[in-house]
Amino acid sequence: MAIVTCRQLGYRYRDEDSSRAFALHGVNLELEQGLFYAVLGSTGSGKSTLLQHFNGIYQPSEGEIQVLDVTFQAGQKKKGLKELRSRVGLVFQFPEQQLFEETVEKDLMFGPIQFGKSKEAAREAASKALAEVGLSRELLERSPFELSGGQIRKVAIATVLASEPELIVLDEPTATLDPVSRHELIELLQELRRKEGRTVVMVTHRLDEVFCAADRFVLMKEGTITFTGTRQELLESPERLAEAGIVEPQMMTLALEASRRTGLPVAEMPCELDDWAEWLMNHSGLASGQSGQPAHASDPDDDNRTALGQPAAHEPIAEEEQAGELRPAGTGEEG
Amino acid sequence: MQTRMIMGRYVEGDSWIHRLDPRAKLGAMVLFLVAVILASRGLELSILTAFAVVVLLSSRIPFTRYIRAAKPLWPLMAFMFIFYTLFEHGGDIWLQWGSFRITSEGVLLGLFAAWRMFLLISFTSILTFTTTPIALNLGLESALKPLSIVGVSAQSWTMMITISLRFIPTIFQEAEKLLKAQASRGADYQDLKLMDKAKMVLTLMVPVTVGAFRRAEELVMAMEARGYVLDAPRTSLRTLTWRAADTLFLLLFVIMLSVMIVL
Repeated sequence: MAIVTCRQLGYRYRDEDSSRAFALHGVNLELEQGLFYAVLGSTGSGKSTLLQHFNGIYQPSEGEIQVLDVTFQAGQKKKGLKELRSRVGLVFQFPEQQLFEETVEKDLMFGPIQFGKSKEAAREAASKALAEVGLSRELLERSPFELSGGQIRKVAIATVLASEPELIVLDEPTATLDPVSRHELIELLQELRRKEGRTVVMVTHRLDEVFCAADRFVLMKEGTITFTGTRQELLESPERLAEAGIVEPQMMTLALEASRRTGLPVAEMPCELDDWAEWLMNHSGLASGQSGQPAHASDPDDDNRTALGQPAAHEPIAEEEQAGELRPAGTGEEG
Repeated sequence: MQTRMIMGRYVEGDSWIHRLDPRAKLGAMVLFLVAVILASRGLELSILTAFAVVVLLSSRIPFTRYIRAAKPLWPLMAFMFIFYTLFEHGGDIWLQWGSFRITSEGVLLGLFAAWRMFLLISFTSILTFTTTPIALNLGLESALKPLSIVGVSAQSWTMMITISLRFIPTIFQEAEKLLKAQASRGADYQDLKLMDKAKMVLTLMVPVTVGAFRRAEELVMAMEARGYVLDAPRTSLRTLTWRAADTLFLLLFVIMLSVMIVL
């Protein structure tokens, strides 16, 4: 079921010069419930503007957007959006500009109380949300302005999680987070999607951090959507990334290169590192006899033996592809 | 929610006003300010408005931009109008309700006060719209130099004024972002009643002030890291040159002020 539907959505900042192009233009997009979406695009491509339409902060200048059961149409200003906003949580790009209460606890309780929870229930939700983002309860009594950059970011995310929205929208939530926290946050979002069926939309500049986690990818350029699809579809058209100014993630390069060298379809390539380890074990016959492989792994003279000395369990591939493949990058025939 | 603070921002352009010496523009603004304060009758204000419109149009910046510059101060203008209307009791009585009286003079004075305010803000925006911050800085420093005789540091005052001008829009943007965050979490400013709106704005005071201090601290560190020392002798890459057009511009304002005084 579609949770968000954009039809020819366009948005222009009201006070900018009339000569300025639309920040969003002709956006057609459908987001399915219960999936993890990654929205990517270079700076100024309209990602944040699009996201702020999801809970009615911005309302369309052109076309329409339907979020859950609320439809926003160009030229109509909708008010009284509390109900929608309780169901759509939006974490803004700059976390230090979204905390405003005296203590972390009050800030975390603000949303739940506004959406009608009792103080006790809001306090409970605050503690739970703080724990979810991996912060200690000791921070509850602290002022949000005393926290470190990473902690402020996590609290900002927790303020939205505390209201338990169905659709969680995050604008570059991993910026300024350390690698461990980044990984934990992505895992948390995946868990919220898997266990609780929430829909997650996340803007990021780093495709590598969501490449294996996201179910769908949305690429944006100059206010328009240039690609929407699965990881598979993205792998099949990597040129779309360059068009949108996104760096190809290493996992994608690996998958494409492995597919090219083995002749196996890119659809069969794994994504996570442990799956790659498994895949390499199963397909290591392709690599036998190559430089860069452990000396004990294979007999340099036997192309048909795997790393464990077992016959290769892969589909037959052309002789020339067997020879000289899966070498470390830069030693092959990339030129 | 989407009103952007545009007062104090430079607008790219190549009109004759853009090319003027910042000192000429500063001087002209002071003369205009005096004229606005002196103007107390409808005729004087009308002449002043006509003069302002001609000068503003010659800057080749959309006229609506000047009008929008005064937008943040509309509540203040409305307050001034209401204050005069309710408490100035001269002329004919138009409406009486208990001890409240609305008189012709009260309404007129209220209108003039709001008009003067609007004129002042819209017109003086020309200074920041047509002068780059660097040029404005140089102009201010040069204009304040004579004060060094009485021990006032022109450089530190200029720096303070420039930074204030630079950060006014930023602080407004920060407040706007906080309002968005509050709206997102169920407290939409636009849905609130007037009293609740006022309360909501008050809740912004602390985070906006903290944000401003944080910015100030970061700015000081960034400036020091790049070797800035207050009041150290400095040379400037750009130097100001006074041309005939600058004298002419200033002269225009002197004539305008003279006409006002004669009238």
